[in-house]
Amino acid sequence: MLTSRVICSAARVSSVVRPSALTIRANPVATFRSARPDLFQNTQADKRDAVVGAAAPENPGTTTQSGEHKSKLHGSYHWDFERALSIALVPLMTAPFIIGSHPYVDLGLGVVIPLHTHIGFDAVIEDYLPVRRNPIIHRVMKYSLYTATGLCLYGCYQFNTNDIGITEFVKRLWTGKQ
Amino acid sequence: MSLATIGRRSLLHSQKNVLAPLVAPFHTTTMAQLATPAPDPVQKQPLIKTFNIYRWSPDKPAEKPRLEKYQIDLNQCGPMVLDALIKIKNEIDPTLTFRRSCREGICGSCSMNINGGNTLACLSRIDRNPSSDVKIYPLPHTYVVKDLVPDLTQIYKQYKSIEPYMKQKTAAPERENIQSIADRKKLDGLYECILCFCCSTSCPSYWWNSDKYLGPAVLMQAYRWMIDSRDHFGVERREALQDPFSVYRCHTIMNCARTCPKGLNPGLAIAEIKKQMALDG
Amino acid sequence: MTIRRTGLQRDVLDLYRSLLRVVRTKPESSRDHFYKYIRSQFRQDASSVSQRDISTIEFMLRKGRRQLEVLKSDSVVDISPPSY
Repeated sequence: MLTSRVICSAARVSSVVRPSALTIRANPVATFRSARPDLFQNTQADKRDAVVGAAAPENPGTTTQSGEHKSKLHGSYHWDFERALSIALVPLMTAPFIIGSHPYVDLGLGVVIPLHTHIGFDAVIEDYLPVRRNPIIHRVMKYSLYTATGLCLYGCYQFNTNDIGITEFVKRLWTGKQ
Repeated sequence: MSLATIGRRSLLHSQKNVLAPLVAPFHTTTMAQLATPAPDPVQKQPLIKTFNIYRWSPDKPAEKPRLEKYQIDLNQCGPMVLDALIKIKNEIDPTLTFRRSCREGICGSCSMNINGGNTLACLSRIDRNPSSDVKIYPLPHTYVVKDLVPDLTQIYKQYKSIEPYMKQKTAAPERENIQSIADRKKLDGLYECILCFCCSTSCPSYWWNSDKYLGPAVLMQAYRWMIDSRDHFGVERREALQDPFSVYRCHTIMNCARTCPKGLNPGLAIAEIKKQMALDG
Repeated sequence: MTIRRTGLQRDVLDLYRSLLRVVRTKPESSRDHFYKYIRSQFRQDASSVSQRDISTIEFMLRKGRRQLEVLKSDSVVDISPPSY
């Protein structure tokens, strides 16, 4: 096995700690403090190699370490909304057993169930067909999902307004009676 | 000659029953308690166990990875899988390559997949049933450097990205950073992580999205710094995770808590992160 | 006439190009050594693996990219020819 030797010069260590390079996501007004500042001295090479995760954040203020655009709407707000729907589903699913068929319950079910299912499938697509890996099929699936959810919402509205309603439908399906 | 001199000569000339001449006149249990040479030890029958170990060499990259079988006599080997690996390397196949250091479950070097689960080889006891084989694989869904050595560069980069050090907004105090006992207790179950990465490599979400999702090991350390009362950048640390991938690929599969060889719970730490991010507003 | 190349071929060429670009940042005296090393390594690796063996080619690409990262460092100033 042939090997070559790579010759290195003495490492050039910069003598000054550069807080701006280190405080990637910290409040720019606050200064960076550390117990051992000498540990974080940057060489030129370190600054060039500040690649983290998959992509180097072009603008650390608005990009997260994974290279995604920082957005609470797609982050914690999305999670909050998803859990709110799940929690809403508890009274909505139990109410029909207590009070029977009711238009408000049908309205709730007709909105929450399609949205809840949409978020579930959306997570499946994000997990297994992320856009950076499968750009075409990701978009195809997302488009189909939005179409299906839209149709579902419209369908539920139609069914609740001009037909017997969801709870009554399930009841008749279950008992088999007209 | 005095009794004492007789005793001393006996000491010089015989190994057995050295004190016998001195105590012979006394009929006590002392006689019975004197050391007698033991009979030869019974040799244990060899207990042969087969190890199926994943092998692949980067020197011949076109060769596909294979499973090699090694037979080990468990009665001539220590109890842990790492003992068996070292014995194989010493006596049978010196080319077998694996990471190891402390041999006591504190350094995190020997993490590998043993019989389907990610653990430390030095803490994993060998099942003494000779009819079943032990299957040893490198950590799942990682690039393999050689044999059982996984490439952890990406995980280390992700660890670096969460800035795992204390950051403060005020001047450093003259002496210690004061922390109450209650605040210190919050760190229990988090600081003990040895960064073996058994958990991250057991998480299916991390398998499918390892470039964007941070994984349980890194997230637990992110949480460790978030809730440290001495650190002032908790809010900023959480803001750095505000995207669909860094945290929110966790679907509470909980393989991480199940496989942690130190008994820690990264899944719980991630749930706390999600809760704090929701409460941040 | 434009040559149609597969994604994998384009990756290999991109790596080659990036390596040549990095060598241009090295001191004049040692550039020749780097070029010789890179060319001989690529030729050697190309001949040792079949075009269809995708996983081996990908492995070599990863290894090459890692070596590129090492080469980028300022402290690397020369490379000596392989010892026989």
